[in-house]
Amino acid sequence: MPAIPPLHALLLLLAVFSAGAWSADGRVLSFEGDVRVNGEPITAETLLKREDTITTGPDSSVRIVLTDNSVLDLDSGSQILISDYSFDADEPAANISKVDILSGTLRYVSGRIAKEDPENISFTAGNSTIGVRGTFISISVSPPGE
Amino acid sequence: MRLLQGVLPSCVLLMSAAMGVWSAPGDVVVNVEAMIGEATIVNQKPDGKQEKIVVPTGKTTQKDPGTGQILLAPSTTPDKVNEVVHAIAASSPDSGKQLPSEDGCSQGNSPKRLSPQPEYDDATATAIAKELEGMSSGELMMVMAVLINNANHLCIDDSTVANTVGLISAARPEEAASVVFVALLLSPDSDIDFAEIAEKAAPAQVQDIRKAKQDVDELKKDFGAKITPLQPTPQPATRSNPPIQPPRDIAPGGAIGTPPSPE
Repeated sequence: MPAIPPLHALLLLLAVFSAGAWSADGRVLSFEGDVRVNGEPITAETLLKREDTITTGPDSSVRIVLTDNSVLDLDSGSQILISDYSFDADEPAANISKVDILSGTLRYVSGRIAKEDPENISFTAGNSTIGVRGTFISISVSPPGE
Repeated sequence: MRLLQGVLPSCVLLMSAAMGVWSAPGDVVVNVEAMIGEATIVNQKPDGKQEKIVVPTGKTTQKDPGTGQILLAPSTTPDKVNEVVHAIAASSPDSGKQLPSEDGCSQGNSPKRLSPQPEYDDATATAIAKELEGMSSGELMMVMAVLINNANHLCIDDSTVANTVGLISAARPEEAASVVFVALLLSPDSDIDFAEIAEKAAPAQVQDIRKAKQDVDELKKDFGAKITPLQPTPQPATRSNPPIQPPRDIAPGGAIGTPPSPE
């Protein structure tokens, strides 16, 4: 899939943001190159929800904002699964965010859930479970030898 | 793909994607770097026991090649977004005027400013603008997201975010609308008019900036109860420590050394 020029991509995304309701757990903030959700090419209209798998191809990347204002930044050649997610500002005890990092590099900028209930945020990568406090972190998963 | 140097023992990774099945026999390498705040890793060992390690700011996980033990090491892989964010935070003109907190800014104490609207001096603005010029649209969005969502950790407030909107809009006018969009989206309760600041810095982009502002306004209506402003953390009633200036290690051009510890 050809890369969308950044300005055009932004304008497209802005138009979609204005047209559609926030009826999912996350929206695409911006993307470049070949990005797929559950195997389908991502578009500005793509709504992200839990149990979605997001994959980036070579020379591709995507930034996603979730409803708690956290931001996921996925590098090229990466794959994540939003294994569980729920956010309601009025019911913070039930908020949860779990992301499986299957390959590649994810950078995470924490939002509301991490501030109010940091124990409800977790990432899994291989046999590791990663919790956060803060934060702006980078987690990468790769085959040995790379 | 950006690679960090640390490794953790892990497992055979099998994952099924919609386009097929991908498998990677053998261990996978997992690295965690805390650029702001801290991360806690719980590693499931082959014998069933758990190994826990805390990764503080500026550190990354690393394995001792001799013993296989997981160690911490200073971050060695440059991250453009992280460097610029820390340069901006450290270069804030009134960073030395911050009132002390018992735990430091990284423990959720909202920063207190003695001047409400700091502005960068010309040299600092030029140095940071030079860094911003080489960044992609996505990286600039990330700069805004990190500054806004980690304001407490970075000891900054909306004034610094506003200044950054102005700097980016001046250095990269074509990105003015995108940074305004992110700023308004992630900082909905700010009293500062980020769009106005961007318009002044990038007057040729006024139409796109105003469109971005309208789009966020529409989006906020859709957010409903899901998105509400972060409430500031209550400040301690009294402070006994004398004023301190956090150590800063800023190289020419805005690059930074060790970021402030979260503790």
